[in-house]
Amino acid sequence: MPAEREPHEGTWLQWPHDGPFPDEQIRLESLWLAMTDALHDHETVHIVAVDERQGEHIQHQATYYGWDESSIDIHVIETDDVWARDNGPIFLVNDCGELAITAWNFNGWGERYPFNNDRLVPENVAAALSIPLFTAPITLEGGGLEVNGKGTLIATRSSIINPNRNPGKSQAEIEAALKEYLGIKHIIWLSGASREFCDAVGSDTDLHIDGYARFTDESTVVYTWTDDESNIFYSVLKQHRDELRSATTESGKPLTLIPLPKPENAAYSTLNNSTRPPFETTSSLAVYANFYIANNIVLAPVYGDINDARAKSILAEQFPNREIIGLPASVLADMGGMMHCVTQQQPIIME
Amino acid sequence: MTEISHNPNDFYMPAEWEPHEGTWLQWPQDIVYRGYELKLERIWLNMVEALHDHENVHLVVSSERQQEQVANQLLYHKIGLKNVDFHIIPTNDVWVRDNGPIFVVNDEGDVAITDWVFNGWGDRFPYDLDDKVPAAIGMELEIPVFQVQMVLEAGAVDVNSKGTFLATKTSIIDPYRNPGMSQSDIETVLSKYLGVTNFIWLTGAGRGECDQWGDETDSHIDIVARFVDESTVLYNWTNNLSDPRYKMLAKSLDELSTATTESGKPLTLVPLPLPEVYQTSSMTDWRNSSLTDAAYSNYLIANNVVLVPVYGHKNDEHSLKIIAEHFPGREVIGIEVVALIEHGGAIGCVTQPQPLPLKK
Repeated sequence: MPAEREPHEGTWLQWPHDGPFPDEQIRLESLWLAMTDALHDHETVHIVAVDERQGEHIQHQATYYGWDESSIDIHVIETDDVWARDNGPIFLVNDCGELAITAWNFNGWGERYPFNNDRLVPENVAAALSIPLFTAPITLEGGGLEVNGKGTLIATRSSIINPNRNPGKSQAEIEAALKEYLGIKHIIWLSGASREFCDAVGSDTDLHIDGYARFTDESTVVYTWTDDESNIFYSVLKQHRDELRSATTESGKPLTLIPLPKPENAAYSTLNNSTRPPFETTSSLAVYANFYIANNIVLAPVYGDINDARAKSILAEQFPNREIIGLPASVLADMGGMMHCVTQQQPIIME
Repeated sequence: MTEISHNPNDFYMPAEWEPHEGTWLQWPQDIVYRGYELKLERIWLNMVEALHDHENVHLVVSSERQQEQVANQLLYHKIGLKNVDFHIIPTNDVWVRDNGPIFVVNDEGDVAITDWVFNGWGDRFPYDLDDKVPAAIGMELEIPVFQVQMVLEAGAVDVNSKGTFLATKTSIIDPYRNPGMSQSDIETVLSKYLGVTNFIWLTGAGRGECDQWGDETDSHIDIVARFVDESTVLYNWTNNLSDPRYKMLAKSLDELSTATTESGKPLTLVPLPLPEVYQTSSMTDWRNSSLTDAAYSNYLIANNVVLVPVYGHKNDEHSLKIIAEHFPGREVIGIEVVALIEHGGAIGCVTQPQPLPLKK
């Protein structure tokens, strides 16, 4: 499994539709259009439409906005929701220039949400591309994995070694599957958090790594951090930082650690119900770590927060040859994810 | 159109809470910035969706091609075209509150347009097309248009329907807008065309000061204070003394505290917390976060509903509740506008109500 920063053939998106919530497509489509607009200059955008009607609709949009036809590739595949990172295909390459897909038995983040259609997306994509499909013997989501492309994986225990995904599976069995199917040699486990904590903060992923720590090169990791000890996440963030401080790469090298601030305005009232009476503030999982690295650009979630500029400048230092494109993501963050959660890279094959 | 000569003195500008015939919107176009239309479209769809069951929605689009696109979007998203009509009128941008017509009514049940000069908020932005919008709408509606030789944006004006006018000096009595006009000259024109008799002038904050919070209107009243009934005013407030807006807000509060309505009654004043919302896509100066002029007061009062901008900020909930308390017969609907606010305005700035004239 190559690192996200390695060259892409393209990016997969699952277009929002009204299956999960009424109005979900209106709420999210502007953001999907903005992501497609930004990405299609640099790589192919593979779009999964839920049905023929939506496929035509997206084709209309592409024509209206003047996007080059060769950069937009629409597939009709039934989906439950938009989280292509988690249910989507995880692409692998080999040294012979071959591409394959791994499927990981998506079960709606421990059976929290419907998953019957999303679970089949990897095999449908493999069939569409006519490439091999390997189905792993364990359940996990792409957002639960962070790799450096050299054999090191960072993941949280709570999002993988969890009876809601892998009942009866030992850590050793899980590690064996990760090694076999992703070519991992070395695993850095962070603790994550308990189900009680995740329910309290609204994390439906049991703390996927893609909100907390991300590789920016083979040995540098940006991690979500706040100095505010009263923040509900403080103890989890501190635990993760301590664990990262004592971790090394596959070659035994310590990690270079760069803190990324959290957005300061941690409360949102932009969900469907909370913008109509009675207004109820819901806490947000918004983070900057959920960025997406593409060819020449990084899509960074922004919130109109005082820390947006700082987060973007940190990413710019880490990705000096890419343009950092901030896209307002509050509406999506209210649903529990950001750019990384809704994208899935397809690596370019190189001999 | 019946040729009756109308006298502007018989007309007045009704308060926004009076019954509407409809609301005007200018659809975003990519000529402003690349990606402008696709990024902002959700907000416009949300506004049409919230309004069109209660009043007409008049959409200004740039071309037949855009009209077709917008109609397709409304149908695809199951909003539909009920009470929606299209007008192809070229525009520079989306701020119909400021470049659009200020509608006035008389007691005979007539409606007319006052067409003020729009000069891009004191020559800050292009305005050649936007300045012609009121006359174009007057033609489409076949109603009288009163040309006024004075610069004014409707976002700079608040009225209580009984003769009281509320505004900031910096946004009207301004050498970039109305050079050579004294306050008394300006009041004479406002009285004639808007039917106002009692002037509450706040000092405001002009060039060099309001730029600190991304305000390019020189403190339009719709981001400072708004009437919610004939004598009650919601005013924007922060307790943070180091907020760059604090000085202007404190001065405005002092001035509101001594002001009275046309009948001599003091105003009932209700604070509305301000959010701190920053520019999101500025690529120029990452080291410094730039504050925007985000405010909850930039709402639209419409038939049965109030559309309130929300920002994903911790003050959203509190502000929605305060606004809801003051509009008991209306549903208050929050619309997330983070993608819009960095361009300088929110819901109030991109909507223009058309009153329903009533024969008295």
